[in-house]
Amino acid sequence: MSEARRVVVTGLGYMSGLGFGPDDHEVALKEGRTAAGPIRRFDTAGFRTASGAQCDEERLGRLLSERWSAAQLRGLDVDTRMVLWSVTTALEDAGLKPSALTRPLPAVVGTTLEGFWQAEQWYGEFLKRTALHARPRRLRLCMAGGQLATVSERLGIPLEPMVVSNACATGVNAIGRLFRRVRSGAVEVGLAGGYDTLTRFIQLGFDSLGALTPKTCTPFDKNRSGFFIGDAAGMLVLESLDSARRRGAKIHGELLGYGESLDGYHPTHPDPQGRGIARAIRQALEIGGLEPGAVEYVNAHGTGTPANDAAEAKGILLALGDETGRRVPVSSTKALVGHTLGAAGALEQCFCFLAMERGFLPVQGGLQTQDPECALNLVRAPQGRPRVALNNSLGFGGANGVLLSRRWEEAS
Amino acid sequence: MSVALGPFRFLSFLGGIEDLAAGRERPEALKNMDARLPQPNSLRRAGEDTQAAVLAAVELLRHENLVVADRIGLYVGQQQIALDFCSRFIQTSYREGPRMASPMYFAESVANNVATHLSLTLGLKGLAQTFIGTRSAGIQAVIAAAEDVEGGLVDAGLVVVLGVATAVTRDAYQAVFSPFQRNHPPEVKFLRGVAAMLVRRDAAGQPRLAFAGVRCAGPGPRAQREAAGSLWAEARARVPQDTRVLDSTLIMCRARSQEILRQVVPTLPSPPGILECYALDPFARLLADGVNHPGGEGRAVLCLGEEGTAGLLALDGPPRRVAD
Repeated sequence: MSEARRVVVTGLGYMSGLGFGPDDHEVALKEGRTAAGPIRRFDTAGFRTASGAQCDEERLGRLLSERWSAAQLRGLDVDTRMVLWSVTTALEDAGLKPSALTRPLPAVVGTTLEGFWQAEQWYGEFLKRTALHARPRRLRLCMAGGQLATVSERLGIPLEPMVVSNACATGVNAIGRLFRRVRSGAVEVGLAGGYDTLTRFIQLGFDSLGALTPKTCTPFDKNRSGFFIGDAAGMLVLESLDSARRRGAKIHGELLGYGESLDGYHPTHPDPQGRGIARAIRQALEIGGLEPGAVEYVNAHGTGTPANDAAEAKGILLALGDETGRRVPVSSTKALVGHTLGAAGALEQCFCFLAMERGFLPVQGGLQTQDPECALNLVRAPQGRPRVALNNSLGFGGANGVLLSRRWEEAS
Repeated sequence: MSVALGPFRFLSFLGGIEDLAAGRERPEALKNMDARLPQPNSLRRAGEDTQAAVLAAVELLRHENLVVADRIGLYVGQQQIALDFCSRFIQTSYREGPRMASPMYFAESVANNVATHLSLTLGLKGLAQTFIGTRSAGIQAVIAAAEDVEGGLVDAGLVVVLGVATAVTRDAYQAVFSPFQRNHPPEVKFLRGVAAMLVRRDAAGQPRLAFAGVRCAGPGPRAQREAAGSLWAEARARVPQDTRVLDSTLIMCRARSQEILRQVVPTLPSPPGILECYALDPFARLLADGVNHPGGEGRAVLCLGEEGTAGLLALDGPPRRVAD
């Protein structure tokens, strides 16, 4: 096997209910401000919970209209718009011009629901009349490949698409897969990330499971009661260090390692001992060649559900050791942006790079009384300048993914 | 890519691949599935498609005497998220009220549900990823498995590709492709089934993966031709000259898709017994061609996804299968 290449991130494009790009998010992550609010996208009558974190669709439309004409944007749904904006922003940030690409751009994208908003509209029309009266155009647009095809056409870039759907670990898994490709030398530069939208189906689905909170999302709190769902998209340009240097690209940070594991425990519940996530953390550290003591921030999956947070806390302590595990600053940004499903891991990786670049720690929002079962050092104030971050994701079916990243310093 | 692909274990609710290649149906083929599953109780709430996927994987691993360990990666390809369970969930919520929708339907609708049942039944605890992408989902899964095997992350990649066709899919596609025959759409028959296969560095008697790739350039036919053309141009140098190139296109727009493909490379017609089966379709066609044309030539299948992607999978010999 050839020597592993160093993998750096040269482009970031991300958005959520908190806003668009680094400036909006930095303020909110430092203040611990939540994006949760009443859902306006669909009727929540009869639901147990009715709050979520929708993105600002009007602003998204304005941002897109700076680049495309109204005709080019007509008919694009919220999923496609979010993907289009985040991909374009990431590529621009990386200084990658479509005309400079000599081959199709690998795009490993994660989503749990594809463009389910369209499918939901189609299904609503179907139930009101018959399938044959529902608008067929919605069906192409509800497929993940359909969104990527639209992006490919608008940007004029042929893509090598790969769509990962591994429940809530999806975003991290997508980045991890491209990380391996770049590291092995199979690919010089590519795009990875995730997206998902708050839909009636997903809100009601998690509502029916009792996973959504009727109050506020308070990960690792003694009285935590679940999460809320949020819109988000996060895209990253991953590149070999050699390629980035050749292009003179600005580097946001370095991806050092990636770990992936299965709990093999239960279809929907995590292993209560956290053994699966611990294996993934150890694997990421091993690949990155770092000891647990080098980790200076953990962006936890932290959904705010009793089972997830307790299991993840045990897993962090198991993997990092009791002393380091209790010392390293940890926060779950889901308290602020909500659970963004397929986007979560990608968005949270963007937050890790933002925190390392700008020198702060994302605050643990919603925390009142820390659960003694989650014996972690939760971030209560943003002061800090982490150099190395872990990003955990845990999904349905016991799918775990962990990314290890480092602040970029030319001498590192 | 320097990996071997095979053997394949193919199961369908309409019979084995020999049946389908011969144009006959044997609907009783999977009637005794429960008795063949190693832990039927753990799967009793799962859908039949998931059960078939587990069965195919179990029988394949048994045939190859492979002991499950962390060094086996799991790669699942399916056309979309589990629409059947989504539709049941949504339907109940609209017709009987939001609080009447069963959380079980929601849990089963998650795309990686099949991988979950596979990992729980087989005891897999290592790598597992699910890929969705209409016709090319299975090819994406093979690509991922090949990368991980070549990279030394796993010794073997267990790839499981499902063809899941539901009433929702059928109605939807009929609406798309027969917009002017809404009241009397043409009858289209679907095939539900699964193909499990192994990706390894070396496997005696198995063909090597000559090429696997997926591209997209936009949603329309022109873009799709461009995507297919770029794939074929890249693959041509690696695919043996006498390779039989098959097509895999949506039955409801076959003529239009074949016209696109003809501009790229002449493809061979597939047996009519292979009904619409989405992500499974490229693999079903490869296997059926192996039955009807048992020669030693290479096999390739070029597929067009309905959302705009093109995918190509090529072997340097005929695919080998585990017999029924």
